[in-house]
Amino acid sequence: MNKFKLTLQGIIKNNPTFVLVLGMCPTLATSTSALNGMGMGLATMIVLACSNMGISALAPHIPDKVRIPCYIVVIAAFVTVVQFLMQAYTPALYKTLGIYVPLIVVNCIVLGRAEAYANKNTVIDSLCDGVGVGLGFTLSLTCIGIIREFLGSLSFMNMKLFDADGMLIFILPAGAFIVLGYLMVLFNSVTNRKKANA
Amino acid sequence: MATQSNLKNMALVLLFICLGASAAVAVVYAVTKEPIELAEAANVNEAIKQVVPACNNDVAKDTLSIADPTTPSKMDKVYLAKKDGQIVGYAIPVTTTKGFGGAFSLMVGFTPDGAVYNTAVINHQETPGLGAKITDPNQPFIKQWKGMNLINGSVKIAVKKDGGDIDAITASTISSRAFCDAMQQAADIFNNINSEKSASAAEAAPADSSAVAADSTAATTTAATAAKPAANAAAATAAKGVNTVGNKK
Repeated sequence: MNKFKLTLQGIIKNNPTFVLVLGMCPTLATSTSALNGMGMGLATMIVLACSNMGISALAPHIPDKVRIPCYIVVIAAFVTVVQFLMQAYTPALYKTLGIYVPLIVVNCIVLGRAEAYANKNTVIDSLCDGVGVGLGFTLSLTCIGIIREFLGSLSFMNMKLFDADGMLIFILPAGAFIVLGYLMVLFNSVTNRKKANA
Repeated sequence: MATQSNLKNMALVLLFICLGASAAVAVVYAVTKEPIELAEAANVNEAIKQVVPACNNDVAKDTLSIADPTTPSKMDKVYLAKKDGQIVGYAIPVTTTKGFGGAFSLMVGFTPDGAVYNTAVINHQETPGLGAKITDPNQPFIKQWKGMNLINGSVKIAVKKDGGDIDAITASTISSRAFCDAMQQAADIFNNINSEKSASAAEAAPADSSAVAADSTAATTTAATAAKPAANAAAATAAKGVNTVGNKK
């Protein structure tokens, strides 16, 4: 299949947040502002791309019964590497995301793609899938983040737009559910309409 | 998926994957160890610079260790800002465990008379948009601390809801309380330095008239300022629990 199409699939048809509804914990927790959401999405994308490649390369040698422990070790190693790198080279981002980075290990998107895609496909295809799904996750988190940040603190990318207090509920977890729900409806109605037309 | 599972190949594959993974982590750890330390030191330095008046010594290295008022076995580290050898400010790092999202650390700067010069948040996990306002220097909550004298007893360090003198951040009372807790710790440490200092100054120069009056609270600050050169010299030799490290001037 066309590599570009494969990558695009992760953003729309297999969008992890709005279609697969995977990885809800980091989605709700880190989308309080656009930059936080984007940082978390990009960190997940790097881990996802690396672990997809690693796992598809190793898969033929892994005995079936111990595949899940093997995947988890590979994923955890990549997450730790990303964490060290963030701590060293982007300390500001690490300060805001610090506690969520180790949680990428248990993010079901990463294990889900390993189990559902990477272990049956070639290294290059798995890389494209990882980048695609990672980009889909990043875009969804950034969208939710922009909306929550605007409604909750009336700012965009940490820049204050109006000198007033926003609606607090959108900063709190309850607001995350509300925004996520409405975006999910919007996303699926648009993609379903496209499917019906085609 | 093709491989048949048996005990031998399961154990071998797990062993090799774990070895490979730990080797990769070890290499990255070794490579990033130094940048991580540098980044953390830069973070602390940045905070120190924000909270003390202009000075011309290397504040990050000019430190004073002082016994912790609550747990005497632990030493608190205090950074000294000096201008031409005279102390112009103290930067005191404190950590409170009472934050809404866990522990957070502050750097609190005092001028020698016990007034707060400025505060800076070193790290925190407070809620964005609510408790995270403690990091915004334009917040009235942060501004109100500037110039407040925390050691002469004129200010009760607690939010107004708890009967104190501090205006809390709207909808972030827990973060504000934690901030007060951290400020109280900093004030305690500062008091400790002052009393140690006047004690050692009095010991070293009993004939010095300015140091004799060092027992009443009101006089302590002026005495400590006046006796500073003596105290500095004495601290190295006669200090009880106080020892200066780094580049003494």
